[in-house]
Amino acid sequence: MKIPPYLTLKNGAILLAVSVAAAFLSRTPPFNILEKRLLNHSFQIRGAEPPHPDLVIIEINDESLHRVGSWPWPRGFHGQFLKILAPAQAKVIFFDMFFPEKSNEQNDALFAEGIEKAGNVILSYYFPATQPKEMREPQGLPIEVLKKSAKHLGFVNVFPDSDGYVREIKLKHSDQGRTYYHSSLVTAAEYFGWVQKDLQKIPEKPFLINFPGPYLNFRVIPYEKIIQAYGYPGGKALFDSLKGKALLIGHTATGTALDLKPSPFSTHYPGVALQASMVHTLLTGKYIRRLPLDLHILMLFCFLILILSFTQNRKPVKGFLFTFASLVIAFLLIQVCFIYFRLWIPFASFGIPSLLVFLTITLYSFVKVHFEKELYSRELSLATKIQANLLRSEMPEIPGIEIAAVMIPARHVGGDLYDIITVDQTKCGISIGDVSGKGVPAALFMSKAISEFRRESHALNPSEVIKNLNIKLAEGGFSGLFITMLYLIIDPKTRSFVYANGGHDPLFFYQKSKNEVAVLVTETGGPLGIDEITEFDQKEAQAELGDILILETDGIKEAMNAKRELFGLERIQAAIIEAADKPAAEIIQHLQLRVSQFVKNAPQHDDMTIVCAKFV
Amino acid sequence: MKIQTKTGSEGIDTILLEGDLDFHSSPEVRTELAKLVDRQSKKIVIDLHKVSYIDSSGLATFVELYQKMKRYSGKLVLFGLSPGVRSVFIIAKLDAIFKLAKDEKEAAAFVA
Repeated sequence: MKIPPYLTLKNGAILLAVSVAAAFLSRTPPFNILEKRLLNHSFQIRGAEPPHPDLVIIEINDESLHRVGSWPWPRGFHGQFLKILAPAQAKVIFFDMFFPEKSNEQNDALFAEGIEKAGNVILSYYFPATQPKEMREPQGLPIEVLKKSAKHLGFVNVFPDSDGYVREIKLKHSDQGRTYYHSSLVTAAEYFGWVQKDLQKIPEKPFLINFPGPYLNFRVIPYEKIIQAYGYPGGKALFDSLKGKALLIGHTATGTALDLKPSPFSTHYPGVALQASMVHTLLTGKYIRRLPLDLHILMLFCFLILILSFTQNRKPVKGFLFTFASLVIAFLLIQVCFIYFRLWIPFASFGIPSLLVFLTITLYSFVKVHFEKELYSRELSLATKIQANLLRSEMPEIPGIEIAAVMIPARHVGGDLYDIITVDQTKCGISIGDVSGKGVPAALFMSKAISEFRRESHALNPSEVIKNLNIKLAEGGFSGLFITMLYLIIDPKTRSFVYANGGHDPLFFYQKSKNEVAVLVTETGGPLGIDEITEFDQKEAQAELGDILILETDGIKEAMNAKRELFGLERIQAAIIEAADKPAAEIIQHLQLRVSQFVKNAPQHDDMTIVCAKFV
Repeated sequence: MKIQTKTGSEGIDTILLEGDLDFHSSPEVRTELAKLVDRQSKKIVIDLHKVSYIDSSGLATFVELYQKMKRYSGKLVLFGLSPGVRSVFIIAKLDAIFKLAKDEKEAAAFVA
């Protein structure tokens, strides 16, 4: 398998570092709260599921207070209640309320008797603490007589996360050699008949509560309904249904239920329901596991590589769409893992780093492209300066011919050149050329071409000059650069001219007598600078007074309009004929005018160069 | 740009290029071609039938290859040029320098 080029050791190391950082950060504030918020959504997406069938909440609600009387009820009432309940043979009964102070002796004794008789009652206490590490001295312990008769005691503390939601419960707490157990664990232990050894296995770390659903998802029976059912023939069914159950007795009445706390299913979740949810988790054994750190890092690393591979060298919109789509898929998979495997994978730890990777790549390539453009345009302006310095600004005065030349560089310099020299004192040599490529290398190649041309131009035959120039340029190296060149020598005395062509556009020859433009080509010749053995021939022709020779570069012939049509040979010929009776400079102007009328607003792609020689 | 190099019988190295051959892809092609030049491949056939666009840097890549191969008398032939790509060669007058074959058979015959 081929390793993609972007997957360098450096990129891999960066992504690994990001993965490690993200995995750790997702476990520390403030990101852990963000992850836990998302966990709320996972619960809501999963929805309610059946609570453990042996779990029953017995609530003291508004109706109970209305029927029985205001709180606190005489403790003898609870004793009575336990007596009534005894035949139902519940497995465990947990009172989610405190009895820390004595009431009257008779009532306390009655309650103690009920507890004693039931033999499976768990009472509560609490730690005055806002977080687990503050748990020191238990408080709210039942009075001695109740404590003695209770089967077990359990602390009821639940510590909300910093956003106020309760999601975890610490089931066990050790302090100064003493171990305390949470009421939900004690309830579950009593239900299963666990012994001390089983409880020792429980770790001290907080357990995530697997909330089965909203409060009313539990089987809830009002306290007073049980009392009402006692003695009624129809009540037997209710008592039978409580056999072997775990009963959790707690407040839900508006005035007394002070421990309403936000949970994933409701912002007002009664404390007894929190207890019930934890008992449900323990009874069903359906624990929620958090993705282990090592696996988390590995998954993040793979995911980030995926994001990198698809955003690298892509347009920002495409990259974003891909990142977004990947995250949507990841979110869905995470929900599937939660629902079916109870595996909690922190989504934000994937979302935030992927967006960071996407933004970094986008920003990096933006800066890089911007920087390269800047560099490129600087190089081009340097090349333009070189090009401008190489061109002759003064025309040699040669009797019998009138010469004009113009060059319009394109924004991206194309490398046109021309040179007009005196040959053999009375003759005029005109060369025009076009260097392939752009930028500084092309400009330097052009300067070499011009200086070599001037050195070779002592020869009187254009084909010889071109041939020698080709050899000089071809032996220079393997730059891949080449030049096309048309070279023409005019003898004004005889009004004759000789030309050779090294792969350049043809020579345009206007004959006044015929009022037409001939396109003059040679037999052989290709671009210069590629192959020393390229052959060049030369042709000779006779002109008359008023005849015109036009040399141009492909910036004219291939000037393109918005419809992507080319100016072409015929339009050049027509333009020359139209302006044939004008001086050389005006002929050029007319040809330029026709080109600009043709291309209109289309951008200029290439340099445009025209040289005109008129026999006068 | 996709570049596939295969060495066939009679020592002919055929390079199949796929995509646009421009400013962006030329350096990659150049690197691949340099490998062939380094081992002085005598016969190089370039299949351009999957290239729809070529610019001056693409031309320069082939000119450079041509120049380098010339030093050790290697033979280079291009074939499968689309009308658009062919016209770029013609505009640059490079048809006078390069051998542009119609098909693989003609190309193979030329380098053989």
